[in-house]
Amino acid sequence: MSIDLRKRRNRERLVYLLAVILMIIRVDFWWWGEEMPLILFGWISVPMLYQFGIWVAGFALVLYTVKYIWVDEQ
Amino acid sequence: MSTQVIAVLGSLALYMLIIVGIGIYSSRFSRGTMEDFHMGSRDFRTIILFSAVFGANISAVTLAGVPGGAYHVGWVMWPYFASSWAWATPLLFYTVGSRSWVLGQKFGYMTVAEVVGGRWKSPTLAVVISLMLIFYTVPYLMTGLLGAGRTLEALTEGFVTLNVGMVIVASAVLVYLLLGGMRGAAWVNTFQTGIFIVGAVAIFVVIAAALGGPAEATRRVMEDYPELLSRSRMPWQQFFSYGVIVALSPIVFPQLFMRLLTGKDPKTLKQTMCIYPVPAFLMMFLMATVGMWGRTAIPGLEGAESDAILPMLLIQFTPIWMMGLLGAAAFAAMMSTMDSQLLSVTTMIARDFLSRSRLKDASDATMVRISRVLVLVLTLLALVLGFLNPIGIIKIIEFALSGFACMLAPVLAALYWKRCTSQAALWSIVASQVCLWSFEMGLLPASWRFGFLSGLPAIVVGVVVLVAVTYITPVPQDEGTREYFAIFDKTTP
Repeated sequence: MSIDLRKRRNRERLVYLLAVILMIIRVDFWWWGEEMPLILFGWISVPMLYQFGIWVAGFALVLYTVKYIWVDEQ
Repeated sequence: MSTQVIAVLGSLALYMLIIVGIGIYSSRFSRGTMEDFHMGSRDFRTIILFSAVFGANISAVTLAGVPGGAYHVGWVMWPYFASSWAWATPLLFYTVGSRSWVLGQKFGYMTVAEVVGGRWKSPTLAVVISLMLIFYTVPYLMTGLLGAGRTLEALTEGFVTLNVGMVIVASAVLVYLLLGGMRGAAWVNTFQTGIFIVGAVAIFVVIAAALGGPAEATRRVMEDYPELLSRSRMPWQQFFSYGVIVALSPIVFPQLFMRLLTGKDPKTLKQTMCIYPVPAFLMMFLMATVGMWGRTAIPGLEGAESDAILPMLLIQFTPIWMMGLLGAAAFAAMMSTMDSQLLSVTTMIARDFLSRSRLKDASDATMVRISRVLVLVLTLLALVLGFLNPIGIIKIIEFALSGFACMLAPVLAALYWKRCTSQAALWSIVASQVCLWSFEMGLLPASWRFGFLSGLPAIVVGVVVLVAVTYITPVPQDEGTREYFAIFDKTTP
C-alpha cells in the first residue's frame, strides 16, 4: 500500500469516527426539556445554535472528504 | 367558485403545464433503450444530478410532515433531520456512492440489489433485497400522493377533494415520466427543486412578516406553548434514534441510489455532495419553524390534521395571487419524490425480476414498453393505497425509513468487507427485519427498546448477525468478490 493511500485511509477512518461522535453529541440531553432564553434576534436559543453547530461540523466533514479523501484516479 | 380557488387552480394549472412541457421536450432526446429510460444514459452533470438527487429526497415529509410535526412538538423537528441527515447522507454519497458508481460504469448496474447480489453472484440475495426495497418504497410513494392531495384540498378549501387532488397530481407525474423516463424526471426535478427552494424561503418570509416577525411569532409560542421551545414533547431517545435512522436510510432509497449512478463522472458526484447540505438544512429549518409558529395562528389541530398547516397558513396570510405560486412549491417537492420512486420501483421490477425471467432476451424496445406499463400500474396501486387515507405522513415515513436503514449494513459489507459472506448479508436482512416488525406489531415488548425507535435495535441486531454469520461461514472465494475488490483496490482508498 502506498503512503498516499495509507494516508487517505487514515483520514477516512478519522472522518467516520468524527461522524459517529457528532451523531452522539447532537443529543444535547443536558438542556433537553428546559426552557432556554431566546438570545439571538429574539427568536434563537442556545440549543438551536448548538444544533446549528452540529450541522456546520458535519458539513465540514463532507467538504474535507471531498477535498482530501475522495481522489478521482480514473 | 371563489376567487381564491380560481387563483390557486390557475397557478397550479400553469405549473402543471410547464412540467408536462418539460417532459414532452425531454422525450425528443430519448434513445429508446433501457439504459436511457431508466438511467438517462448516465450523462447528468452537476446541476441536473443535484436536483435529481435532492428532489428525490425532499418529499411530503419536508412540506407536510415536518411543519405538521413541528406544530405538535416544536422546533426540534428541524434538527430531527438537519443535524444528522443533512450532512451524514451526503457523506454516504462518498462511502456508498463512489464505489457503486464505479460498479455501475463497469457492469451496467442500476439497482441496489444488482450491486449487492453481484458481489456474491447471488440471485437469491438480490431478489430478497429488491423485494424489501419495493415493499418499503410503495407506502413512501403513497405519502407523496397523500401530501399533495391534502395540500390541494386545503388550498382550494375543499373544492378539490383529497381523492381528486391525488388523481390530478398522479396524472401529471405519469405524463412526464412515461414520456421522458429518467431524463424527463431529472429535468422536471431541476425546475421543481428551484421552485421549492425559492418557495420555501418565500413561505417563511411571508408568514413571518404576517405574524409580526420571527421574534414576535416565537414570543407568542413561548407564551402559549412553551413546550414547543423546550423540546419536552419529544423524548431524547427518539431524537437520537431517528437521527441515526434518517442519516443511514436515504442512501439505500432505490430512487436516490439509482440517481447517484446517473452522474457523468465522479466530479459531478463530488459537487453534488458539497451542495447538498446547504439546501437540506435550509428547507428543514424554514419548514419546521413555520409549522411551530402555525400553532399560535391556527390552534386546535389534532393528529394528522396538522400535515395541512402550511396550506392553512398560506390561505390565512398570503395574498391570493401568491397562494398558487407557493402551493406549487409544495407540489414540486412532493412530485419530485413521487416520480423518482415510481421510476425506481419500475427499474427494480424490470432489472431484478423480469430480466431474470423469460423476458431476459426481450429487446430494449419491449422492455421500455413494459416499464411504461409498470409505471402506470404502480401509480394506480399508490392511488388505491392513498384512497384508504391512513395515518399521518410522518408515522408512515418513520416506519419505512427504519426498514431502509436496516438494509445499509449488507450494502456496506458488499462494498467494503472482503471476508463477509452472502449468507451473512442475507441473515442480517432477515434478522433486522424480523426485529423491526416484531417491535412494530407488539410481539416484542416496547420496554426492550428503552425508549428508542424500533429501527435502532433492528439495525444493531442486523449488524451483530452480519458479523456473527460472517465468521461462522467459510471465507468467500467467489468470482464476484475478486472482481469487486480488484476494481476498488485500483480506484478508491
